Amino acid sequence: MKAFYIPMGLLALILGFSLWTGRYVEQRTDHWNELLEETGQLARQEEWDRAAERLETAYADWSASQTFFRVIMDHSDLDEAEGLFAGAMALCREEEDADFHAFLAQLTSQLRLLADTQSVSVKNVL
Amino acid sequence: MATAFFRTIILYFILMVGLRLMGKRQIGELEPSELVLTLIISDLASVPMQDFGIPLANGIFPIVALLCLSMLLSFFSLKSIRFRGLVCGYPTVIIRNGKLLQQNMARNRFTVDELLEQLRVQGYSDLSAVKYAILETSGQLSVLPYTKDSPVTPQVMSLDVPDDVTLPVLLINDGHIMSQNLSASGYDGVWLDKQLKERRLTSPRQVFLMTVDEEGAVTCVAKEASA
Repeated sequence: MKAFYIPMGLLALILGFSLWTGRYVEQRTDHWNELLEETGQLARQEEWDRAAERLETAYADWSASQTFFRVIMDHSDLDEAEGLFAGAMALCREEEDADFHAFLAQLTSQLRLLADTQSVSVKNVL
Repeated sequence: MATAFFRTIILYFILMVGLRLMGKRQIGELEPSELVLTLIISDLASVPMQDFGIPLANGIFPIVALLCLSMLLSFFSLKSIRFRGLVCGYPTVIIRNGKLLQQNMARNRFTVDELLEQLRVQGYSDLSAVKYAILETSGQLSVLPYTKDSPVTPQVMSLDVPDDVTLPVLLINDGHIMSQNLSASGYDGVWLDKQLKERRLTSPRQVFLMTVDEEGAVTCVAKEASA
């Protein structure tokens, strides 16, 4: 029965890991998107210092997850999000209101895309 | 470049272990499911090896999943004859009682040229010498000739011949003593030294190949000077 249980166990392990990964990425991106939303609200209230602080918190948290994210996700998608983070931080420092919100929207959308690529759905499977 | 190097090493070992788990078949003897597996795995391995933008896990996980599926297919094939037939197909009789079964050939897309080639490979130039020919699931043709065309054996001739077939055991392989084989054959280092001395050899390193069979007959091939 070893010939049955070992491959079945491995397949179950891979499936479990894939499901957990999807859930984990979704949780992380939701968290960053919340921080980005707060950042946007603070920017709209002209509180640029607090907005920059919130954005840096989100970026630090994002950076800490990069090793694992690069193990499971397409690097080009992550690089794109990284570029958007850097651009948003630069615009926040310069207090460029209109461009900043456009960048923030792009970043939010990119983070959602990352979560979407890892989620288990018929759309992704097909 | 280091990424490519390490990825190649990791994927190579994963593939080697996986293919080793598949069994000892040669490429030409692969069942359809095994051939499919080999083709897909080779593609899955080569992509993350070259494209650093793709995580290594994207190559490893599908390969491991495929190998697991292959092992499960083997397991169920062993357990169920019907399942085995579904996965591997069934052997097909191509020649029965010397008659060519054209429908069976067409069903397996087995051409006359292929049939004649396989017969020639097995030493049959004349179709009329073949009583049965069976196309195995591995794609090989098993040929059973008429008794009058079969090779003569001592049994056919009613000869009483001594059973002198023995299994030679490798004792020295390219200068290296196979200690486990030596002790399993019931010999020791002293006996080996004596055998070397009898052949005017001073060290096992001078020996390319040495075997001993169950009768105690030793075959020794010394290394050539330039080897």
